[in-house]
Amino acid sequence: MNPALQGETKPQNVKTGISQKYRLLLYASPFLLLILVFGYFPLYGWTYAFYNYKPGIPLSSEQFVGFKWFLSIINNPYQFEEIKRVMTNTFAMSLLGIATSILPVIFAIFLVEIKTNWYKKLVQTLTTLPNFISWVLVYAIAFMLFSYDNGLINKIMIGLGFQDGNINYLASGEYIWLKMTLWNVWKGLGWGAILYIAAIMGIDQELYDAAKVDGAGRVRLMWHITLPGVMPTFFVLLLLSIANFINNGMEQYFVFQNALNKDSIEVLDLYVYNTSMVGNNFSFATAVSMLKSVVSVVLLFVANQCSKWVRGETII
Amino acid sequence: MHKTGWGDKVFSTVNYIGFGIFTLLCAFPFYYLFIQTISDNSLSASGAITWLPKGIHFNNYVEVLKVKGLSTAALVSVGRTVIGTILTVFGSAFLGYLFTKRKMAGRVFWYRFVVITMYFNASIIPWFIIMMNLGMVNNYLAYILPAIVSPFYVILVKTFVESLPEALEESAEIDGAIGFDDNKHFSRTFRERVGMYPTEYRTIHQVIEVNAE
Repeated sequence: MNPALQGETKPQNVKTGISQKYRLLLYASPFLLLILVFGYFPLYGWTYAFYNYKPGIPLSSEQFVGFKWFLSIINNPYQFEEIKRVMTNTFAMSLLGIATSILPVIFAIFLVEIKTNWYKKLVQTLTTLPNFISWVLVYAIAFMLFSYDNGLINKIMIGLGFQDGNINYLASGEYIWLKMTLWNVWKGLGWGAILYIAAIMGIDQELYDAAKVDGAGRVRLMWHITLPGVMPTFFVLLLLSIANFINNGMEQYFVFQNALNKDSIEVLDLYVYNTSMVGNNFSFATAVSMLKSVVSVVLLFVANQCSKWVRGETII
Repeated sequence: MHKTGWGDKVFSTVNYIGFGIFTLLCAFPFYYLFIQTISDNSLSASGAITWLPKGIHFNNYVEVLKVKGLSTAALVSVGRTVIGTILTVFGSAFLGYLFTKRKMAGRVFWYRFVVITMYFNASIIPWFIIMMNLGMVNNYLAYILPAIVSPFYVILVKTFVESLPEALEESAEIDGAIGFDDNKHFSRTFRERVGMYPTEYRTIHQVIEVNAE
């Protein structure tokens, strides 16, 4: 008789005797170990935030300064104004980023409505191209197109008679938040849509057939089947971007910054770079990145709790 | 069966054109860069190249290929991409899938343990010291090992697997795709299918067999 048929009901593996819940953990353990080593061990570096750190000297012989660097973020009115300005930029960029994060969803939903296969593939391939170049190269492209002399856009605008002389698009700080967001959309839209397209491909075709039988038109199919099908993915990404609210990264803003637009382009990450790396103040940078991590994790769990209240399910 | 009405045609046309415009916006800058690279260098420097290349030559690309160490660097990059991708997909998918198993001990805790590391940033010096202590400085593993588990992909895989109907896995198990390591699970599935626990089934069967003799 088949040994499985003997009615043994304990959830134990016959060979090892380890119950299933620990066996699953055991399978995961090598990967959790990697996370421990590469995700958690380097965090001892946060102790540098409490020292007057100079690279090259062992930590034991550094000067202990307590919370000096944390307090230095807000310790005088001038500094406080700076932080206010930087945080305004950071919040603006993050809000615009979250507002535009719905665009890849729309892109994906409408792209799958294109029934000409070669056209769909062409669109998908070419729109992911910008994702594969770094921000430095994006700036190179921006420079070729928008530069003051010989820029393509200036030439076209003058040729069409919309403007009299060259305009220095890249230097002006006007609408810089909007411009940065547009570059972000240009670079990330096609790429961001891939995840949603994959999610749409995973939707059961029978749902569509059933709805068609019930007389649903194209728009109704999109609204009632495709959109709900991508929403789980969207909410996960939304949650992660909310947690990233104060981490905009610095590369994009670093390459686009100049003396004229600096006031409205300097986000927190760039500010930390400008003040600490350029000024060689490593401890200050560590203190800020420590605070950022704490804020992010708090935001993550707050957003997660909100998701539990609103949608009835948690994400992490 | 599917009728295409007037509104449908307008929808399609607008859709095609909209995507066409955005695609051009994405692709044109690359075309523009490319025609500068193959045009006469002095012409492109003076901004004379707008729509079509002039004085086509490929010397710029020949010069690039002459750069020393380029082939080694390219090889390292390709190797890193191929090996790294395979291991990242395997590691992250495996871990993400395990996190969908509600029976796993401390599942929520370990999942969060992985996810929050996405938001930790310990700057480059402690990172370097860790790598040095692990003997991974100037070692190819430095590219591979830290990338095996990517919290972001773990989340994606978990979300995706959870969106699949659970019945799919159960029916696959019944078909013998996975097998029954867990006897409790087997008993439950068996009961769902047959209407009684395996022990009951056996008892009844034995009774029938005895009666038949």
